[in-house]
Amino acid sequence: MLPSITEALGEEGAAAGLVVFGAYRKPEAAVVPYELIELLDPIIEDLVIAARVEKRRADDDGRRYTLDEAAAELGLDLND
Amino acid sequence: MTVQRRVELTSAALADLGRLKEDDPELAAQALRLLRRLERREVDGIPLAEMAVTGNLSDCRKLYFGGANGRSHRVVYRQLPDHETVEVLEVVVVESRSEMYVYLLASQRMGRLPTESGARFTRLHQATISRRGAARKQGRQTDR
Repeated sequence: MLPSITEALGEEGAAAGLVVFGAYRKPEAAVVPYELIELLDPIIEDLVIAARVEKRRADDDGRRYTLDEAAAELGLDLND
Repeated sequence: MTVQRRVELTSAALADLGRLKEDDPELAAQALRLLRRLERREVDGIPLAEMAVTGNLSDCRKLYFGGANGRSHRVVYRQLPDHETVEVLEVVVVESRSEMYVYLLASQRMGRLPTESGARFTRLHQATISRRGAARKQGRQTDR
């Protein structure tokens, strides 16, 4: 079965959509065309960023550093 | 009249840069120079995609830097409201975009990593730590 799915994905690319597997009408896994993964990548990235920003907001200690302060703190030269 | 811009880093973003400097000092310097260019309005970030599940992130933007394609790392910043004379951009995150590792790490930190993915995450996590350790060791040897 897998070779025929791979063939279909190869022919249709992202348009093939998802192939979902499961048992007793319950989805357990899915095969996703890699082309579709590439299209989804920016969306996944933004979901990760959203989660990151949310976590950072929750943990924020309120301190802020200007670029000059950050460069001094890190021992880096901004004008390199 | 163009409103002046000021870039500020949160403590967490500064810590991100500190870790980046440990791994690759030139990349950390590159990030700082990019932020300076942002402050000077020479570059601007890409707005995040609008998605119902992420809530309102219309004030957030991402900027890429590093690597051969200039996209190995990202900076995420927020444009703060209510600054009439100075536009303040707050840097929230500076991090690697190393694909699945970042996704898995974020999921693990949020306690959303499925149990069956735990072993794969542990392998990736250990590989990343080893790679960083080897890079640090190589740096120390080069310094001598």
